[in-house]
Amino acid sequence: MADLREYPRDVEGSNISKIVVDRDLCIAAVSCLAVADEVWELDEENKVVAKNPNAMDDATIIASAEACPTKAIFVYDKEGNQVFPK
Amino acid sequence: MQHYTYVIIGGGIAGTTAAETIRKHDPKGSIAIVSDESHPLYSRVLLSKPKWVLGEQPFDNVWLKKDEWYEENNIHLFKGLRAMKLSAAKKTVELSDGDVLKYEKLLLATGTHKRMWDVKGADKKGIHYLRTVDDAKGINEVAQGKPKRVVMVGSACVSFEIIEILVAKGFHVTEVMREKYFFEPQLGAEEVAPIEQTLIDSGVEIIRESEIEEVLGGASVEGVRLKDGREIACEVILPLIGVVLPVEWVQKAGVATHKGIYANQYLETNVPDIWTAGDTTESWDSVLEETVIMGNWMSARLQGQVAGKNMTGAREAFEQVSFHTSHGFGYQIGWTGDVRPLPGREIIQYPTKEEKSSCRLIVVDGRVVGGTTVNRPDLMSAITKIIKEKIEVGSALEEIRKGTVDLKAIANTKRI
Repeated sequence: MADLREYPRDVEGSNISKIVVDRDLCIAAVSCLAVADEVWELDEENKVVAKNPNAMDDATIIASAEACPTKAIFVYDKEGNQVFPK
Repeated sequence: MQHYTYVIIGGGIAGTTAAETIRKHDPKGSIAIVSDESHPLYSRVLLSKPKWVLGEQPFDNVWLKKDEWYEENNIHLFKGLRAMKLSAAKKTVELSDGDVLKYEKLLLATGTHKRMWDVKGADKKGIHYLRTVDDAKGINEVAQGKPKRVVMVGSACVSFEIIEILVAKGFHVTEVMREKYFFEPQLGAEEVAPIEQTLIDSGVEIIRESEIEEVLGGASVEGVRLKDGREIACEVILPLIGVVLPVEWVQKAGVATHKGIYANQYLETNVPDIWTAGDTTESWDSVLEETVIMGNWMSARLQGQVAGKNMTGAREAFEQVSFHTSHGFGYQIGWTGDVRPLPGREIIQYPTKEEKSSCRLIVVDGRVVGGTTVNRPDLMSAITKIIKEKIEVGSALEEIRKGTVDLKAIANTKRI
């Protein structure tokens, strides 16, 4: 089973309801952190966790997921559809 | 002749990040990227990751930029062309199709090329390399097909990761290495021993300190003959034997090189208006106080960002304690900073209590310059901090060896 960690996002006007990190895929390349440093941080196990999934705007969150070289970050909209990776 | 404000040689993560950064700081200047591959930016690290190789993640996950991105940002991507000749005096780069680009500012972000396997019969069908996304298609096809007998040549991260994938799919793998053990010299023999035991228990055969003399077979691979005369039957050979740094073509133009392209901490080469970033860069590291080649995704991206910004007029230093990891067979291996066991460096084993785990520090004159961890990823951030803040550990080496002092506690002090 994949080791998934979910981060609900509750920001007025945002179309993103949830961000999910597949911890098995995360290799701590920290590309996401470089794009959205207010959202992401590395935890004790050297995996990326969302310290504040409500920080920053939707475009920045998606850009941070796009930057991930292992595509370990999944973004869902308010209807529950996966909007990234498409 | 075409004229661009910024010319970037190399379309990988360093070059593309540089272009992206330049565009952020200079909305008008013209930008060209020259790539000898026929693709937009993709994730090289994904090429050896199990879910992608086995098709459990969509193939298209590999793409990090689409063609439209280049158009939207007014970045011209020359695909499938190689930079052949640099003239620093004329500020031109000649491409493999004869076209000449004139630049105002140039970034050398060529990355590395795969080392070709120079063995008799190495042109037979069934031999696959792994450096580019086009190479990867060959290995993916093998991994997704019926189990075969594979000979793996090379014993670093990518070999380790691919072996895990193949073994999980029922392939029989024989590993032939020049080295004494996997990851030498990036890890110590005692750290690797439990990892290798797991491989052997999974059915992997390891042949050490050995080389292949000839590939056997007709048009397709049927086996290999080692230099000691032994023969191993196989249908597939994966020579994942590292990379070469293409520096000669810039050397001829007067750019100072060593193993890589020399740069200061601002990623400036010795030639005005030429910067370098990514895997071919050998730049001054003000944390480690030496010139280093990083050769990993994380550093290449940050170097691209710093070089790009500096090309638009800033003068920022590249400063990063670099780390990378490799996963396989239930092990998570981490390398932080400069882990080369060079003469004059002390290797300190830090005892970890957990089974199948280990940690070592590489120490120079009482200062930690690098560290390796097996199944203790939580120690990597402590090691990073000790390196970055140049914490003096000379007086505590014995305690570290005995484990009577906590590395994380050391990381949280300025001095001990």
